[in-house]
Amino acid sequence: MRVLVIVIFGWLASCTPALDNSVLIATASSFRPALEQLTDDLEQTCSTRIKISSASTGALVAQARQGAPFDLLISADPVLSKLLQVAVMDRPFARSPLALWMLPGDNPSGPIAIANPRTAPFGQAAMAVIAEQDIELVTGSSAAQAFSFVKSGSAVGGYVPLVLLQNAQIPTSEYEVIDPALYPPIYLQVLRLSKHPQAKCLAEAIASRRIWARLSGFGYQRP
Amino acid sequence: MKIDLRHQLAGFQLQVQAQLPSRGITAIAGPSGAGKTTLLRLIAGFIHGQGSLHFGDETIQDDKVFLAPENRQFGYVTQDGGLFPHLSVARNLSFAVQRARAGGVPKAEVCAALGIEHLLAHQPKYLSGGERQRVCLARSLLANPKLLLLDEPFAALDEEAREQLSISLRYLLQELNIPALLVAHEFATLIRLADYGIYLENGKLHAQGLLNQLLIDANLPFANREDACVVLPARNVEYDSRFELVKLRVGQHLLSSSAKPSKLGADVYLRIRASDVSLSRQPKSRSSIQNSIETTLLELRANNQPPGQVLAVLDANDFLFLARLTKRAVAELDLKIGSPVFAQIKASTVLTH
Amino acid sequence: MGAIVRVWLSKTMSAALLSPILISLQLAAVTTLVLLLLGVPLAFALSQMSGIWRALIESLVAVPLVLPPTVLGFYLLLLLGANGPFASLQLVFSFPGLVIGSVLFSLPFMVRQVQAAFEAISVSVFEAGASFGLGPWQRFIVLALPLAKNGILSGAMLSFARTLGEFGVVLMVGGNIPDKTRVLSIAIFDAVERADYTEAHILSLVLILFSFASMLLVSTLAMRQSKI
Repeated sequence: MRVLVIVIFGWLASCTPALDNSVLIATASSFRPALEQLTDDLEQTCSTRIKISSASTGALVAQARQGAPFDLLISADPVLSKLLQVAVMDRPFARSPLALWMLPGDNPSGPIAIANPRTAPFGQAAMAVIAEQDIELVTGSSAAQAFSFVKSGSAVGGYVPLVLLQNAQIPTSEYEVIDPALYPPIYLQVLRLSKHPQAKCLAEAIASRRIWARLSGFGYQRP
Repeated sequence: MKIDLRHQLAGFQLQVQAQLPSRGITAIAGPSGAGKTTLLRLIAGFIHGQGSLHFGDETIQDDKVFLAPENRQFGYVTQDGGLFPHLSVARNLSFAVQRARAGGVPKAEVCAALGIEHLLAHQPKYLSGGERQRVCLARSLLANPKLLLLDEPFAALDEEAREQLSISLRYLLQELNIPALLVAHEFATLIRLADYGIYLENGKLHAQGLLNQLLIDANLPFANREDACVVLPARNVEYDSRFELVKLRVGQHLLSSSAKPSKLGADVYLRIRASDVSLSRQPKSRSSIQNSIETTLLELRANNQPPGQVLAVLDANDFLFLARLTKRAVAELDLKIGSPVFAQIKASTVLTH
Repeated sequence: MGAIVRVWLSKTMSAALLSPILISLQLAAVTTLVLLLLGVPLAFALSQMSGIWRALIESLVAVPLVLPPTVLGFYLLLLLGANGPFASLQLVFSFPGLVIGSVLFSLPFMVRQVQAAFEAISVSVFEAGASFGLGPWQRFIVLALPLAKNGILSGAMLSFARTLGEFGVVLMVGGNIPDKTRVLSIAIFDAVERADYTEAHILSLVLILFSFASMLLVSTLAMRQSKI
């Protein structure tokens, strides 16, 4: 018994995570479901495997500045993107609309979920819409987490990306799309952070017209 | 062995300069807190004191040199024992044998003498206090140390165990020719084991000498004890089976004892208690006391004695010993320093060990 | 019924789920090994020390106990990151970086557990060892290690379990790189964030199982130790 434990232990200890040639894409959390659905297509187009990491745009930019090995970064905030001092800044390939989602029920009372305005563009957008109103808020670390607060019922409603609502097939009666004039637009950009050979192909593919056709189906707007 | 060691303790400084015999058993005696254990640990090397220490030709410690305890080849036994709990008795012993100094100690004999043969397979945690100490002693002896250091090794044992172990230990140390340094707090241990001794008080050396010199010394507490005594080497020369008496030759004198007989011709130690010696102006007359020897009165001490009593120091030519008597007896017998006097020693109380 | 089990199995066995489990196990194993090599001698040294040095080192070792993991992670990120002195080693967002963070984080658990085991050994055992010619290093190997065996194993299991559940330090120093630094705890957080509760459940169950098994071992060892 003892010997078995030690052998397993030793084997585990000697394993190191495998090296491979996939492209690591860090994406703003609101874009993740779309990216996951595009993965098969993109992998075929550029003949490479894709790995996805997601968090709020601010968190990803911070990690990238500390040396995170991202090959591509899909950012939802051009201002934050500038911090990365990437030589070539691609034009935005999509705009991601904001919606207000309220759970059904008679006069529920409770907090409204938003993304962290400091690190997530959707948070800043929500704050712009809320303006001076005195509303009880609960802040998620990213747009996706704000969405999950509402989905789980910890918040009675939230300012969340439209694309997440469509992806989860939430009944349209439960949410309303916010007038774009009320908040700074949320543009999605692809940033190339490494010299990975397939990174350029993927960046171009994501911004391509063909992919755009699918994106508009998810709820994205033209930039 | 030459000692010149100094060490600062809480409250006082230990400072001992002495030349001790490198054979036999030397006791370190003194009241509690005198620094006996500290001195022993300085000699062992567990405390790094200042000064120097020489053993035979070897320099153990001086200004330039300090041998770590593991390099001194001194055995060390304490009340606590230090038996390795994760090894059986047998493996504890073989541990010592494997690391023993050249010379070879007969393992079987040591185990037999200490009575531990039946314990070999046991684990230390199941041994009684007495058994543990016996194993510890055996283990230390089997390593054939240059010097065996003992710190009150019998303190946690009962009287009977103490007596048995003292006898076995003394026998083995002599047989194996291993010198020993023993911190002794109890008087009984002191008189059973010591050949030589030093007396410490407040970290300073107050007296040193052969055992009997210390036992008789007026400046030391031993002579003032109720059970004050002397210890004399003797030889068993005859056994009177009719009266169950053992005859012992002590120097020129022949004394009878009703103690258990040992081997004929064996060397034993005789303890004569001061309280069991009475004095007379005449040689042995009809009295129940069996032994009577001629002595000269050397000293009469009245200080520090029980009320109405006096301690007499007697010279029997080959040896000195003590007798306790009343002041009135001194007056009646008209005892004076230098006068010849007959000492009557009760046979039943001349004990051997 | 069979269909449900099949679906459940295929989901559990999917690479995406296996990966965080394997990485967590590897991280825990490597961290524990490093802690054994570093922590046990350190614990022994501390148990034999006294005075101001011991107090200082003990306090230093104990810091991760009271420090929030995120603080530890933050400073490690600065130290090991792209702008720090070790930038060229590329330790952040990599498995070695995780090991460093986890080792520091669990160090007090290993050291204190093992130190207590060493301190339970009577001084007279070591002195007896010295009287038989054992030097300090030999006393460590021949006497201290066998006698502290259970304490060392406990420390190892504790560190293993703790590292499995590690979140704050790992997130800061390792990020969330799939197949590299995406450990179980982070994968769970990620799944919840994406509202994929099935995945969150499965991964959480696995984590609970491993942690429970480790703690069971620790308790068993503690019981055996107290019988000595």
